[in-house]
Amino acid sequence: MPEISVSKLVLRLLNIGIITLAILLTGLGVRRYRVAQLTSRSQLPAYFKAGARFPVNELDWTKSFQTLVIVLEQSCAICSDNAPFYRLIEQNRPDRGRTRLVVLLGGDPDKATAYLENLQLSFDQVKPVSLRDLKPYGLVGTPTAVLVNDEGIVTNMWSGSLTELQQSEVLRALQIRVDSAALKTLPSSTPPLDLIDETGIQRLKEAGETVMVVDLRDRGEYSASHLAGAKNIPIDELAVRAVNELQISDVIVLFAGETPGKTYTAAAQMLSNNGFKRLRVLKTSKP
Amino acid sequence: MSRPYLSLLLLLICFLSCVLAAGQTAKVVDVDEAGIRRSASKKILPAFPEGSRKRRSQGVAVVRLQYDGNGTVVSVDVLEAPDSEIGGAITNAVRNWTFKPSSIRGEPVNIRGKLTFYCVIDSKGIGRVQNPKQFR
Repeated sequence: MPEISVSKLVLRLLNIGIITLAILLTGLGVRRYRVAQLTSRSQLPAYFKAGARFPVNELDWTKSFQTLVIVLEQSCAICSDNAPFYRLIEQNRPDRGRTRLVVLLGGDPDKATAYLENLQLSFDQVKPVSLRDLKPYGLVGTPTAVLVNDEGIVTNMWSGSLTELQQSEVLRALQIRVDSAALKTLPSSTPPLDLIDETGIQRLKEAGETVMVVDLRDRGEYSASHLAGAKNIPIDELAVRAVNELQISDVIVLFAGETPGKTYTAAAQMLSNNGFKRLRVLKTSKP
Repeated sequence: MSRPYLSLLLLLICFLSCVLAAGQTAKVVDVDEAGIRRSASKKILPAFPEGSRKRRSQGVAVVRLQYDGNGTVVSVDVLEAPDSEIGGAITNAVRNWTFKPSSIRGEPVNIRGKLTFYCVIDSKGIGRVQNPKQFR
Protein backbone atom coordinates (compact mmCIF):
# COMPACT_ATOMS: atom_id res chain seq x y z
CA MET A 1 0.00 0.00 0.00
CA PRO A 2 1.54 3.30 -1.06
CA GLU A 3 2.27 5.76 1.68
CA ILE A 4 0.18 8.91 1.73
CA SER A 5 1.44 11.89 3.66
CA VAL A 6 -0.92 13.53 6.16
CA SER A 7 -1.00 16.79 4.19
CA LYS A 8 -1.99 14.98 0.98
CA LEU A 9 -4.70 13.10 2.83
CA VAL A 10 -6.07 16.33 4.28
CA LEU A 11 -5.97 17.92 0.83
CA ARG A 12 -7.79 14.96 -0.70
CA LEU A 13 -10.46 15.01 2.02
CA LEU A 14 -10.82 18.75 1.52
CA ASN A 15 -11.29 18.21 -2.23
CA ILE A 16 -13.90 15.52 -1.62
CA GLY A 17 -15.67 17.87 0.80
CA ILE A 18 -15.63 20.75 -1.66
CA ILE A 19 -16.89 18.58 -4.53
CA THR A 20 -19.71 17.18 -2.34
CA LEU A 21 -20.68 20.69 -1.29
CA ALA A 22 -20.52 21.80 -4.93
CA ILE A 23 -22.87 18.98 -5.99
CA LEU A 24 -25.28 19.81 -3.17
CA LEU A 25 -25.28 23.51 -4.02
CA THR A 26 -25.74 22.76 -7.74
CA GLY A 27 -28.72 20.55 -6.89
CA LEU A 28 -30.17 23.27 -4.71
CA GLY A 29 -29.59 25.90 -7.36
CA VAL A 30 -31.19 23.81 -10.12
CA ARG A 31 -34.16 23.02 -7.89
CA ARG A 32 -34.75 26.67 -7.02
CA TYR A 33 -34.36 27.63 -10.68
CA ARG A 34 -36.90 25.01 -11.77
CA VAL A 35 -39.39 26.08 -9.12
CA ALA A 36 -38.98 29.68 -10.24
CA GLN A 37 -39.47 28.68 -13.89
CA LEU A 38 -42.57 26.66 -13.08
CA THR A 39 -43.94 29.55 -11.06
CA SER A 40 -43.37 32.09 -13.78
CA ARG A 41 -44.90 29.78 -16.39
CA SER A 42 -48.12 28.97 -14.63
CA GLN A 43 -48.48 31.65 -11.96
CA LEU A 44 -50.60 29.18 -10.04
CA PRO A 45 -51.06 30.11 -6.42
CA ALA A 46 -50.26 27.71 -3.59
CA TYR A 47 -53.67 26.31 -2.58
CA PHE A 48 -55.49 27.29 -5.72
CA LYS A 49 -53.54 24.70 -7.67
CA ALA A 50 -54.01 21.37 -9.36
CA GLY A 51 -53.88 18.53 -6.89
CA ALA A 52 -54.86 20.66 -3.89
CA ARG A 53 -58.17 20.68 -2.14
CA PHE A 54 -60.32 23.64 -3.09
CA PRO A 55 -60.24 26.05 -0.15
CA VAL A 56 -63.95 26.91 0.04
CA ASN A 57 -65.78 24.14 1.90
CA GLU A 58 -69.43 25.06 1.65
CA LEU A 59 -69.83 23.89 -1.95
CA ASP A 60 -71.34 20.52 -2.76
CA TRP A 61 -69.01 18.91 -5.27
CA THR A 62 -71.00 15.69 -5.52
CA LYS A 63 -73.84 17.32 -7.46
CA SER A 64 -71.91 16.86 -10.69
CA PHE A 65 -68.95 15.07 -12.19
CA GLN A 66 -66.97 18.30 -12.10
CA THR A 67 -67.52 21.94 -11.17
CA LEU A 68 -66.12 25.01 -12.83
CA VAL A 69 -65.68 27.63 -10.11
CA ILE A 70 -65.14 31.13 -11.43
CA VAL A 71 -63.82 33.70 -8.97
CA LEU A 72 -64.89 37.21 -9.97
CA GLU A 73 -64.80 40.66 -8.43
CA GLN A 74 -67.38 43.32 -9.24
CA SER A 75 -64.79 46.05 -9.81
CA CYS A 76 -62.56 43.86 -11.99
CA ALA A 77 -62.45 44.95 -15.64
CA ILE A 78 -60.94 41.71 -16.92
CA CYS A 79 -63.77 39.78 -15.26
CA SER A 80 -66.28 41.76 -17.32
CA ASP A 81 -64.14 41.30 -20.38
CA ASN A 82 -64.26 37.51 -19.99
CA ALA A 83 -68.06 37.48 -19.57
CA PRO A 84 -68.85 36.52 -23.21
CA PHE A 85 -66.63 33.47 -22.84
CA TYR A 86 -68.41 32.43 -19.63
CA ARG A 87 -71.73 32.86 -21.48
CA LEU A 88 -70.42 30.62 -24.23
CA ILE A 89 -69.61 27.93 -21.66
CA GLU A 90 -73.03 28.28 -20.02
CA GLN A 91 -74.86 28.01 -23.33
CA ASN A 92 -72.84 25.10 -24.73
CA ARG A 93 -72.22 22.78 -21.81
CA PRO A 94 -73.74 19.44 -22.74
CA ASP A 95 -75.08 18.32 -19.37
CA ARG A 96 -75.51 20.06 -15.99
CA GLY A 97 -74.99 16.74 -14.22
CA ARG A 98 -71.60 16.62 -15.78
CA THR A 99 -70.45 20.22 -15.22
CA ARG A 100 -71.84 22.71 -12.73
CA LEU A 101 -70.99 26.38 -12.93
CA VAL A 102 -70.38 28.19 -9.67
CA VAL A 103 -69.27 31.76 -9.17
CA LEU A 104 -67.51 33.12 -6.11
CA LEU A 105 -68.18 36.83 -6.31
CA GLY A 106 -66.22 39.50 -4.48
CA GLY A 107 -67.62 42.96 -3.82
CA ASP A 108 -70.91 44.22 -2.39
CA PRO A 109 -73.23 41.16 -1.95
CA ASP A 110 -76.30 43.38 -2.41
CA LYS A 111 -75.14 44.26 -5.92
CA ALA A 112 -74.23 40.68 -6.92
CA THR A 113 -77.47 39.94 -8.78
CA ALA A 114 -77.43 43.22 -10.67
CA TYR A 115 -73.77 42.71 -11.57
CA LEU A 116 -74.38 39.26 -13.04
CA GLU A 117 -77.56 40.38 -14.81
CA ASN A 118 -75.68 43.26 -16.33
CA LEU A 119 -73.14 40.81 -17.74
CA GLN A 120 -75.98 38.47 -18.74
CA LEU A 121 -74.38 35.67 -16.78
CA SER A 122 -76.27 32.81 -15.24
CA PHE A 123 -74.67 30.26 -12.92
CA ASP A 124 -75.93 27.23 -11.02
CA GLN A 125 -74.75 28.76 -7.76
CA VAL A 126 -73.58 32.23 -6.81
CA LYS A 127 -71.67 32.60 -3.57
CA PRO A 128 -70.61 36.05 -2.36
CA VAL A 129 -67.14 35.86 -0.85
CA SER A 130 -64.56 38.11 0.68
CA LEU A 131 -61.54 37.89 -1.58
CA ARG A 132 -59.46 38.98 1.40
CA ASP A 133 -60.30 35.62 3.00
CA LEU A 134 -59.18 33.69 -0.08
CA LYS A 135 -55.84 35.45 -0.42
CA PRO A 136 -54.11 33.37 2.28
CA TYR A 137 -55.01 30.32 0.17
CA GLY A 138 -53.01 31.68 -2.71
CA LEU A 139 -55.62 33.51 -4.79
CA VAL A 140 -53.58 36.19 -6.51
CA GLY A 141 -56.26 37.86 -8.59
CA THR A 142 -59.50 37.77 -10.52
CA PRO A 143 -60.83 36.34 -12.70
CA THR A 144 -59.70 32.86 -11.79
CA ALA A 145 -61.40 29.79 -13.22
CA VAL A 146 -60.89 26.56 -11.28
CA LEU A 147 -61.98 23.12 -12.37
CA VAL A 148 -62.80 20.93 -9.38
CA ASN A 149 -63.68 17.23 -9.41
CA ASP A 150 -66.48 15.58 -7.44
CA GLU A 151 -64.15 15.11 -4.46
CA GLY A 152 -63.35 18.79 -4.20
CA ILE A 153 -59.86 18.42 -5.65
CA VAL A 154 -58.64 21.07 -8.08
CA THR A 155 -57.84 19.48 -11.42
CA ASN A 156 -57.03 22.56 -13.47
CA MET A 157 -56.90 26.31 -13.15
CA TRP A 158 -56.67 29.44 -15.29
CA SER A 159 -55.97 32.94 -14.05
CA GLY A 160 -56.44 36.38 -15.55
CA SER A 161 -57.52 37.31 -19.04
CA LEU A 162 -57.72 34.17 -21.17
CA THR A 163 -55.98 33.90 -24.52
CA GLU A 164 -57.76 32.07 -27.31
CA LEU A 165 -55.50 29.08 -26.66
CA GLN A 166 -56.45 29.05 -22.97
CA GLN A 167 -60.12 29.40 -23.85
CA SER A 168 -59.79 26.32 -26.10
CA GLU A 169 -58.11 24.51 -23.20
CA VAL A 170 -60.98 25.34 -20.85
CA LEU A 171 -63.54 24.15 -23.40
CA ARG A 172 -61.59 20.92 -23.95
CA ALA A 173 -61.44 20.32 -20.19
CA LEU A 174 -65.21 20.82 -19.99
CA GLN A 175 -65.74 18.66 -23.09
CA ILE A 176 -67.52 21.49 -24.84
CA ARG A 177 -67.20 21.48 -28.59
CA VAL A 178 -67.59 24.81 -30.31
CA ASP A 179 -66.44 26.01 -33.67
CA SER A 180 -63.06 27.74 -33.32
CA ALA A 181 -64.58 30.66 -35.22
CA ALA A 182 -66.99 31.12 -32.30
CA LEU A 183 -64.07 32.01 -30.05
CA LYS A 184 -62.77 34.53 -32.55
CA THR A 185 -66.12 36.23 -32.80
CA LEU A 186 -67.14 36.34 -29.15
CA PRO A 187 -69.52 39.22 -28.71
CA SER A 188 -68.60 42.20 -26.62
CA SER A 189 -69.73 42.11 -23.01
CA THR A 190 -71.15 45.60 -23.33
CA PRO A 191 -73.70 47.00 -25.73
CA PRO A 192 -72.14 48.88 -28.65
CA LEU A 193 -71.14 52.39 -27.64
CA ASP A 194 -72.30 55.42 -29.57
CA LEU A 195 -69.60 57.42 -31.28
CA ILE A 196 -69.38 61.16 -30.91
CA ASP A 197 -67.13 63.72 -32.55
CA GLU A 198 -66.03 67.15 -31.36
CA THR A 199 -68.98 68.81 -33.09
CA GLY A 200 -71.32 66.44 -31.27
CA ILE A 201 -69.67 67.28 -27.96
CA GLN A 202 -70.06 70.97 -28.69
CA ARG A 203 -73.71 70.46 -29.52
CA LEU A 204 -74.31 68.63 -26.22
CA LYS A 205 -72.61 71.43 -24.30
CA GLU A 206 -74.74 74.02 -26.05
CA ALA A 207 -77.77 72.02 -25.01
CA GLY A 208 -76.70 72.43 -21.37
CA GLU A 209 -75.15 69.00 -20.84
CA THR A 210 -71.94 68.57 -18.89
CA VAL A 211 -69.57 66.52 -20.99
CA MET A 212 -66.40 64.96 -19.60
CA VAL A 213 -63.85 63.55 -22.01
CA VAL A 214 -61.86 60.83 -20.26
CA ASP A 215 -58.51 60.02 -21.84
CA LEU A 216 -57.74 56.40 -20.93
CA ARG A 217 -54.19 56.37 -22.28
CA ASP A 218 -51.13 56.35 -20.05
CA ARG A 219 -49.68 59.59 -18.75
CA GLY A 220 -46.88 59.75 -21.30
CA GLU A 221 -49.25 59.59 -24.27
CA TYR A 222 -51.60 62.07 -22.64
CA SER A 223 -48.76 64.53 -21.95
CA ALA A 224 -47.59 64.30 -25.57
CA SER A 225 -50.96 65.56 -26.83
CA HIS A 226 -54.54 65.52 -25.71
CA LEU A 227 -57.89 67.03 -26.41
CA ALA A 228 -58.42 70.33 -24.58
CA GLY A 229 -60.31 69.76 -21.34
CA ALA A 230 -59.84 66.00 -21.39
CA LYS A 231 -59.23 64.33 -18.05
CA ASN A 232 -56.53 61.69 -17.97
CA ILE A 233 -57.48 58.53 -16.09
CA PRO A 234 -55.34 55.61 -17.28
CA ILE A 235 -57.48 52.53 -17.80
CA ASP A 236 -55.88 50.63 -14.92
CA GLU A 237 -56.86 53.44 -12.52
CA LEU A 238 -60.43 53.84 -13.74
CA ALA A 239 -61.98 51.34 -11.31
CA VAL A 240 -60.82 53.39 -8.34
CA ARG A 241 -60.95 56.91 -9.72
CA ALA A 242 -64.22 56.96 -11.70
CA VAL A 243 -66.54 57.00 -8.68
CA ASN A 244 -64.38 59.66 -7.02
CA GLU A 245 -63.88 61.99 -9.97
CA LEU A 246 -66.74 61.54 -12.44
CA GLN A 247 -70.40 62.46 -12.10
CA ILE A 248 -73.06 59.92 -13.05
CA SER A 249 -75.22 62.68 -14.53
CA ASP A 250 -72.48 63.77 -16.96
CA VAL A 251 -72.01 62.49 -20.47
CA ILE A 252 -68.73 60.56 -20.34
CA VAL A 253 -66.80 60.50 -23.61
CA LEU A 254 -64.09 57.85 -23.69
CA PHE A 255 -60.89 58.18 -25.64
CA ALA A 256 -58.24 55.45 -25.81
CA GLY A 257 -56.10 56.42 -28.78
CA GLU A 258 -55.14 54.10 -31.57
CA THR A 259 -55.48 50.79 -29.74
CA PRO A 260 -58.95 51.02 -28.28
CA GLY A 261 -60.35 47.45 -28.76
CA LYS A 262 -60.70 45.91 -25.34
CA THR A 263 -59.95 49.17 -23.55
CA TYR A 264 -63.32 50.65 -24.49
CA THR A 265 -65.11 47.42 -23.60
CA ALA A 266 -63.39 47.18 -20.24
CA ALA A 267 -63.87 50.88 -19.45
CA ALA A 268 -67.52 50.90 -20.50
CA GLN A 269 -68.28 47.75 -18.52
CA MET A 270 -66.59 49.11 -15.43
CA LEU A 271 -68.34 52.46 -15.67
CA SER A 272 -71.66 50.84 -16.44
CA ASN A 273 -71.34 48.60 -13.34
CA ASN A 274 -70.85 51.75 -11.29
CA GLY A 275 -73.94 53.47 -12.61
CA PHE A 276 -72.45 55.53 -15.45
CA LYS A 277 -74.89 55.00 -18.29
CA ARG A 278 -74.32 58.05 -20.50
CA LEU A 279 -71.24 56.76 -22.27
CA ARG A 280 -69.87 57.66 -25.70
CA VAL A 281 -66.66 56.99 -27.59
CA LEU A 282 -64.74 59.83 -29.19
CA LYS A 283 -64.79 59.38 -32.95
CA THR A 284 -61.09 59.84 -33.65
CA SER A 285 -57.94 57.88 -32.91
CA LYS A 286 -55.80 60.99 -32.54
CA PRO A 287 -56.35 63.74 -29.97
CA MET B 1 -5.10 23.25 -13.25
CA SER B 2 -4.53 21.54 -9.90
CA ARG B 3 -7.44 19.85 -8.16
CA PRO B 4 -7.97 22.41 -5.37
CA TYR B 5 -8.31 25.20 -7.93
CA LEU B 6 -10.65 23.09 -10.03
CA SER B 7 -12.80 22.42 -6.99
CA LEU B 8 -12.84 26.07 -6.04
CA LEU B 9 -13.86 26.95 -9.59
CA LEU B 10 -16.70 24.44 -9.37
CA LEU B 11 -17.72 25.92 -6.05
CA LEU B 12 -17.76 29.39 -7.56
CA ILE B 13 -19.91 28.21 -10.49
CA CYS B 14 -22.35 26.62 -8.07
CA PHE B 15 -22.49 29.77 -5.99
CA LEU B 16 -23.21 31.85 -9.08
CA SER B 17 -25.95 29.43 -10.19
CA CYS B 18 -27.53 29.75 -6.73
CA VAL B 19 -27.40 33.52 -6.96
CA LEU B 20 -28.97 33.37 -10.43
CA ALA B 21 -31.65 31.00 -9.22
CA ALA B 22 -32.36 33.27 -6.28
CA GLY B 23 -32.65 36.14 -8.75
CA GLN B 24 -35.25 34.17 -10.67
CA THR B 25 -37.47 33.94 -7.59
CA ALA B 26 -37.65 37.71 -7.21
CA LYS B 27 -40.76 37.68 -9.38
CA VAL B 28 -42.91 40.78 -9.54
CA VAL B 29 -46.69 40.41 -9.62
CA ASP B 30 -48.84 43.39 -10.60
CA VAL B 31 -51.89 43.73 -8.38
CA ASP B 32 -54.79 46.19 -8.64
CA GLU B 33 -55.33 48.84 -5.98
CA ALA B 34 -58.06 46.90 -4.18
CA GLY B 35 -55.67 43.96 -3.85
CA ILE B 36 -52.82 46.15 -2.65
CA ARG B 37 -54.99 47.82 -0.02
CA ARG B 38 -56.41 44.46 1.10
CA SER B 39 -52.87 43.27 1.76
CA ALA B 40 -51.82 46.32 3.75
CA SER B 41 -51.39 45.67 7.45
CA LYS B 42 -50.24 49.18 8.37
CA LYS B 43 -51.44 52.26 6.50
CA ILE B 44 -50.35 55.79 7.27
CA LEU B 45 -51.84 58.87 5.69
CA PRO B 46 -49.57 61.92 5.48
CA ALA B 47 -50.35 65.30 6.99
CA PHE B 48 -51.25 67.88 4.35
CA PRO B 49 -48.04 69.90 3.74
CA GLU B 50 -48.35 73.49 4.98
CA GLY B 51 -46.74 74.93 1.85
CA SER B 52 -49.23 73.12 -0.37
CA ARG B 53 -52.09 74.30 1.79
CA LYS B 54 -50.95 77.93 1.43
CA ARG B 55 -50.68 77.46 -2.33
CA ARG B 56 -54.11 75.81 -2.24
CA SER B 57 -52.73 72.83 -4.16
CA GLN B 58 -55.27 70.04 -4.23
CA GLY B 59 -56.32 67.16 -6.40
CA VAL B 60 -55.50 63.54 -7.07
CA ALA B 61 -52.17 61.89 -6.28
CA VAL B 62 -51.18 58.50 -7.63
CA VAL B 63 -48.08 56.55 -6.62
CA ARG B 64 -46.70 53.26 -7.81
CA LEU B 65 -45.23 51.13 -5.07
CA GLN B 66 -43.49 47.81 -4.85
CA TYR B 67 -43.07 45.67 -1.77
CA ASP B 68 -41.05 42.52 -1.27
CA GLY B 69 -42.12 39.06 -0.14
CA ASN B 70 -41.82 40.11 3.51
CA GLY B 71 -44.26 42.97 2.99
CA THR B 72 -41.64 45.71 3.21
CA VAL B 73 -41.97 48.61 0.77
CA VAL B 74 -38.94 48.72 -1.52
CA SER B 75 -39.89 51.55 -3.86
CA VAL B 76 -42.41 54.35 -4.25
CA ASP B 77 -42.70 56.49 -7.39
CA VAL B 78 -45.01 59.46 -7.69
CA LEU B 79 -46.95 59.25 -10.97
CA GLU B 80 -49.16 62.24 -10.37
CA ALA B 81 -49.54 64.79 -7.56
CA PRO B 82 -50.92 68.31 -7.16
CA ASP B 83 -47.40 69.47 -6.32
CA SER B 84 -44.02 68.02 -5.43
CA GLU B 85 -44.42 68.72 -1.71
CA ILE B 86 -47.56 66.61 -1.54
CA GLY B 87 -45.86 63.97 -3.68
CA GLY B 88 -42.96 63.88 -1.20
CA ALA B 89 -45.25 63.67 1.84
CA ILE B 90 -47.20 60.78 0.31
CA THR B 91 -43.99 58.99 -0.67
CA ASN B 92 -42.65 59.24 2.89
CA ALA B 93 -45.93 57.98 4.33
CA VAL B 94 -46.27 55.05 1.91
CA ARG B 95 -42.67 54.00 2.62
CA ASN B 96 -43.87 53.26 6.15
CA TRP B 97 -46.80 51.08 5.06
CA THR B 98 -46.37 47.38 5.71
CA PHE B 99 -48.02 44.49 3.94
CA LYS B 100 -48.80 40.87 4.57
CA PRO B 101 -46.04 38.60 3.22
CA SER B 102 -46.77 37.31 -0.29
CA SER B 103 -45.64 34.07 -1.83
CA ILE B 104 -46.51 31.77 -4.69
CA ARG B 105 -45.83 28.08 -4.08
CA GLY B 106 -43.81 29.00 -1.08
CA GLU B 107 -41.52 31.33 -3.04
CA PRO B 108 -41.65 34.99 -1.97
CA VAL B 109 -42.91 37.39 -4.62
CA ASN B 110 -42.62 41.12 -4.98
CA ILE B 111 -45.94 42.89 -5.41
CA ARG B 112 -46.33 46.05 -7.47
CA GLY B 113 -49.35 48.30 -7.76
CA LYS B 114 -50.75 51.79 -7.57
CA LEU B 115 -52.27 53.77 -4.73
CA THR B 116 -54.58 56.75 -5.19
CA PHE B 117 -55.05 59.59 -2.73
CA TYR B 118 -57.16 62.73 -2.77
CA CYS B 119 -55.70 65.93 -1.41
CA VAL B 120 -58.46 68.32 -0.44
CA ILE B 121 -58.71 71.68 1.30
CA ASP B 122 -62.10 72.22 2.94
CA SER B 123 -64.09 75.44 3.30
CA LYS B 124 -62.29 76.19 6.60
CA GLY B 125 -58.95 76.01 4.84
CA ILE B 126 -57.96 72.72 6.46
CA GLY B 127 -56.01 70.40 4.18
CA ARG B 128 -56.44 66.62 4.27
CA VAL B 129 -55.02 63.67 2.36
CA GLN B 130 -57.79 61.09 1.95
CA ASN B 131 -58.17 57.60 0.61
CA PRO B 132 -60.59 57.11 -2.30
CA LYS B 133 -64.25 56.77 -1.21
CA GLN B 134 -64.35 53.00 -1.61
CA PHE B 135 -61.40 52.53 0.77
CA ARG B 136 -62.43 54.92 3.56
